[in-house]
Amino acid sequence: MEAFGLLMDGFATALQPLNLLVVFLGVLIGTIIGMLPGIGPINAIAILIPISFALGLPPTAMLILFSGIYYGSQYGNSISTILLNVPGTASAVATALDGYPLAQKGRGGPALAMSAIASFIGGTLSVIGLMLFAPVLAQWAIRFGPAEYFALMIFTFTTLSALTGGNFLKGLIATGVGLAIATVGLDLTNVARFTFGQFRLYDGFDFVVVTIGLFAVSEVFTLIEQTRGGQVAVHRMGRVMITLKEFTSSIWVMLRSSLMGFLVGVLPGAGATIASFLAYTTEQRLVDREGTFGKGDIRGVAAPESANNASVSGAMIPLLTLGVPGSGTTAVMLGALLALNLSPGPLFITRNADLFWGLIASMYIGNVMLLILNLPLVGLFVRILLIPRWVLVPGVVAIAYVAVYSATSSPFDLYAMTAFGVLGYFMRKLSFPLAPVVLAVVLGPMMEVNLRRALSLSNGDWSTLYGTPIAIGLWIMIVVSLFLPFVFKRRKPLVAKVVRQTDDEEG
Amino acid sequence: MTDRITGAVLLAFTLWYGVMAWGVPRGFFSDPLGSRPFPLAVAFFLAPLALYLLLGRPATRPTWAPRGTWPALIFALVAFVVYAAIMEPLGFAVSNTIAFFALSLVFRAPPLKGAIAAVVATAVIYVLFGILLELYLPTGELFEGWFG
Repeated sequence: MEAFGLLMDGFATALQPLNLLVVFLGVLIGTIIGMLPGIGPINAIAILIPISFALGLPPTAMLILFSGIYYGSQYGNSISTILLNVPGTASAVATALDGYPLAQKGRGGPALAMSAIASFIGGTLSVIGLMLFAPVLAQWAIRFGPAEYFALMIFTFTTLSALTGGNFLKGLIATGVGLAIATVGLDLTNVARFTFGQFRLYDGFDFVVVTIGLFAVSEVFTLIEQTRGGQVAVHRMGRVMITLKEFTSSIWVMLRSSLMGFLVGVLPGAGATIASFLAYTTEQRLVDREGTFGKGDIRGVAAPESANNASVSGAMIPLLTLGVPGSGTTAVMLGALLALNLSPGPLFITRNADLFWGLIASMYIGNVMLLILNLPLVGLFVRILLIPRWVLVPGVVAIAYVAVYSATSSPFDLYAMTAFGVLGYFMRKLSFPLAPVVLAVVLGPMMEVNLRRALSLSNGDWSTLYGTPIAIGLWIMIVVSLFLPFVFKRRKPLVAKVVRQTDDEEG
Repeated sequence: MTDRITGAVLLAFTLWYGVMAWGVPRGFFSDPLGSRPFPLAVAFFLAPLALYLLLGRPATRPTWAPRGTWPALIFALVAFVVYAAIMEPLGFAVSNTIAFFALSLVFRAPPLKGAIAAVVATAVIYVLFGILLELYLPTGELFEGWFG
């Protein structure tokens, strides 16, 4: 019953005018950037971090805003997927399998409606999961010391490297490059490393600059190659509504997929993309008796859309309770929280109860807002898809420049951002995943701090790293995760498809 | 071939990074581990991966940009760098208009429409971020005398 009182307090926080405004802005921005191919939540959040700091937004409002963008993007991504067969983010690729055939038959409207409803169910159920399980996991995580954290971070790196992009070797290299970037600057004992006597390098590379460069700037280069010009043709939608029969035939699909998406989301490294594919293939096996999946079966929209939304709240659990994010987007959110001097971890929820419960309440509110935005108002968003690229891309670049410049008022970061953009472009070309770089840039310093702290506590005795049952368990999981790519090899066509179509934009 | 080149570049980077890491001084207040081992470990982690890429079976066959788009790519890159370079001397309004226009041309905007969009978008961003949200956008050293 205590949780109920806390949740009511949370609603009191979330319903404050500023917080209500930011949750609306968050889900609105999320829907739009989710819908636009090439701009994912990771870009939007990275660009908004310096802006929110410059505005002096309170931490609660900031977290509500970023989360709104994150789960909002999982609603919006199906719009372009269904109508144009161009996935807004990688996690919507599975939605295209049945969504686009439906649009071709003139049933884009029902597909969009089903996507919005499935997203709402997945989103809301997973907030309940987040609310119930995060405090429990936090209780358990209190036993984590520096040695356990060090092992947990390695586990996060190995799973993310194994599961994104489909090439383990390249995932590991991306992690290593990220760690190398992270070591630039003063370390915890104020020793300057890789600074070449340049004072502006003493603070190291800001993760915002790295993220915007790797994802947004490199995306501009990628889009240049694809510019064939011309307007896009949007299929006639029909009414944005589903029948009761369609709803009842999909209800179990949505419930199962939500659960699966939530659980996959909690795992480090396995995000919305894997959740949506896993849900799609599972439901295909379970309910597709007539072989209609892939030809325009509305349940084939319901499964991935409920799963990818559910995975988002799942992914918030390791971020908030352990302070160890499992994906690029949650890594960027962690970076923002660290910059606010809030270090998420086992005590985060109890110490910042108003923030945590305000966030939970805002997520319930945000999902309702998203349902309204994505059902009756979906027609308005579709018009945004008609904005020509020659307005959209320079506009995004301009906002990125404003954001990065406002953070430090120095052109140096702008040059660095462009350099990371070139790096990101070549990494995409050579099929290296980008998310591990961002994760390593954010987690690298924490990883080193935990390693050095653990060894300080043990006076340099390395056996402390595997001295507790939890640490041993984590090391075993690390070894197991090294074999994950071989298990997933069977799914290679699907993974390859994700990579080819969208690179790892989901982050 | 691509993997061999990537592996060679990565190996060169790793060696350079490792040598730099070797030269990291010991901190004044040092813990048992010190500042040097972590970057060294990163170098030791990357080195075999780079070697594997260099000597293993090549698997990457990237599709490079068609030759025709290279000028556009380089033009865009120049636009990014120039934008950063002129931000402070010319100020946000002028530099953003120029950069926006240049990028819109890369994406095949009709020149007149692109120019109008550049001016309008710059004004919108200036009002939204510079005036409403009160972010610092440089006026430009060139114009500093003009506006007191």
